Amino acid sequence: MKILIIEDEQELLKSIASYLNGNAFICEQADNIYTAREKLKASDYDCVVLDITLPVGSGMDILRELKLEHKSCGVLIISAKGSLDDKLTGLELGADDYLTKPFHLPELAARIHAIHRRRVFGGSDLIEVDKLSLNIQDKYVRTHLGPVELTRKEFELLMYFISNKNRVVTKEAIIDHLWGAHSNMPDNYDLIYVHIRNLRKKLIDKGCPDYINAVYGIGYRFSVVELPVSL
Amino acid sequence: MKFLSMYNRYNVSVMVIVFALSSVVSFFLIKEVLKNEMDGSLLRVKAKIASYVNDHKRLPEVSLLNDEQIEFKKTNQGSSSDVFKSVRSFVPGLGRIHFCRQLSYSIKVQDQFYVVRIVNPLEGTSHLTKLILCISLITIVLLLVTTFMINRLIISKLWQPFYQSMTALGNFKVSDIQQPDFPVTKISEFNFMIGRLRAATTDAGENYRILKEFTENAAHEIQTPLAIIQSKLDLLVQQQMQDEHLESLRSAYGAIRKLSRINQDLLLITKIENSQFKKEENTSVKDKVEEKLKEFREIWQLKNLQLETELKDAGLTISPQLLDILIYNVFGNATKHNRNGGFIRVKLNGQGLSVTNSGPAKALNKERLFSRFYKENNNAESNGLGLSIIKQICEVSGIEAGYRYDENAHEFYFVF
Repeated sequence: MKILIIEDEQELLKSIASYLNGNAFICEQADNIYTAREKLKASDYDCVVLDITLPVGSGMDILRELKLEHKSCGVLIISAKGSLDDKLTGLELGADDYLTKPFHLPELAARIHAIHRRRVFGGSDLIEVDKLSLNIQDKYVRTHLGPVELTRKEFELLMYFISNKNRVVTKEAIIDHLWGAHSNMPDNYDLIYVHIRNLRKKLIDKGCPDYINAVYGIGYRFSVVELPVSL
Repeated sequence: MKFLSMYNRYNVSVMVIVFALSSVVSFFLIKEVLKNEMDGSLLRVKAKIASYVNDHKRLPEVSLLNDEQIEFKKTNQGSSSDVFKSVRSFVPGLGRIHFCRQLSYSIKVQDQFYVVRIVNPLEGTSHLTKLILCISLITIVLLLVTTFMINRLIISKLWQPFYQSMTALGNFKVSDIQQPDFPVTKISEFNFMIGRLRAATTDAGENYRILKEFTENAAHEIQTPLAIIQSKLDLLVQQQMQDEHLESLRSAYGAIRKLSRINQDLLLITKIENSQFKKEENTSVKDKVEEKLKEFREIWQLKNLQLETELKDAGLTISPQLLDILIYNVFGNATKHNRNGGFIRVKLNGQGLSVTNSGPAKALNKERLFSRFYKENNNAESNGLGLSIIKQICEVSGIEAGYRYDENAHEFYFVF
């Protein structure tokens, strides 16, 4: 999947590219509006990660131009301004999603995956990951031994892990993903422990290897042998 | 005590004293004038007697028809001068003892000296005293009545700009963009006061705006460095690391999470203050409460909290987003500060919402509860902004928020 990241903050740009590269993504970077325009003209991208506040011009301009040229790429806005107006304007102009800084890189990856799936498969696709096959639309998972009965939260958790497979995902990132960025319940830590324990058990019961490993109190890693075929 | 009543107290008492004094003085003055008049008439009688004696060489007959009583007495002493005297004596005409004016002198008729006494009653003076007393009392009463009327009708009207200014000042909030509506008046003292008030409120509003803008900008500017740190940590955690490095990383994650949360909450408060939320609309509080109850069910089950609900239909004109945040925060607090196996009671009706939870056996500090960064204990997971967000939402939405403590039960209530 080819992605263009437009972000004026060099360090953030590098981090995003570094995290996404190799995770089934090929990333290109643009740190100003001119480079961004050139790159967009030169090649087609599956998804554009767009910062709204640029030193010259605005991410909104790029968004307008993309829509005028009927480019089919998905657009994910990342912005330091969490104001509702910005979000609404962005979404009205045709952005697919909106993420407020600061965000977790796994969250960004999960959002891009979701945009990509919606755009390419219309959301009805069947994802195959190792021994699992997931139907995103019906929130349905099965293995060679039959369906795995997952709760809604467990399914979301699994999808999140799959979008960030072979990466360490922190507990905080999982909490923000499952309960929203405004959640600040200390009890959520206990809850994810419960959810992950259940998910692991259900997957193992259906003949999967133990995909999910705890990483020293920080988070979890969903490990599968990478196949050359992307999601 | 009102300024006017205080002023009147002095004003009227001084006026009454001055009036009483002037009445006394005028009484004596008038009495003196009357006495002089009387003495003049006594001298006129003396002159008449003298001319009679001169013409007839004998004393005149004492006529009873006249007011004055005249007495002649033989005396061996020689001539003496006029002596005026005030005496009390019986007045046959009036039939009683009366204040009288008396003139005595000696006269010589055919080598015989006589003492002449002419007495005339000072009839007018007692009437005069009564009259002056009457006039004084009536004037004092009139004075009180008119002062009262003037206060009622004119002075309170004159003071109107003062009260209007005070009301305007009372309604003034530094967060208002609108300046208070001070009255226009011709009275220079009030204009002076209004001018100063206007300058002070404008200044306060301006300073508040600058401070708010600063908070807002600071919070926004912090977002990007935070995003960079967050992303670097997310990359770092992917590396193979020794346990002690992971431990450091974990602490860094915790700290950055806390920092982002504070920042988010401050931005949220600013947004609420700036009314950057969706327009208010008629929202069903019951639906929202039920929605949130569903979200919290998982955590409550985990903490073995007993939930008791009593929900009746209730509508409220409020931004749905704010109501969402409000209920989330209230439920969040009731959960965070609860104990395992405790309870949560949610009551909703047309009058308001009340959320009660079990918790520490100590009431919270009511005064400081809703202020920013207030923490009852050093709870690492709370930044002390939750309740000030609640307060801010209540303020912009016209909800009254309060706290009660009763036997280990902490209740937060909201009156619609």
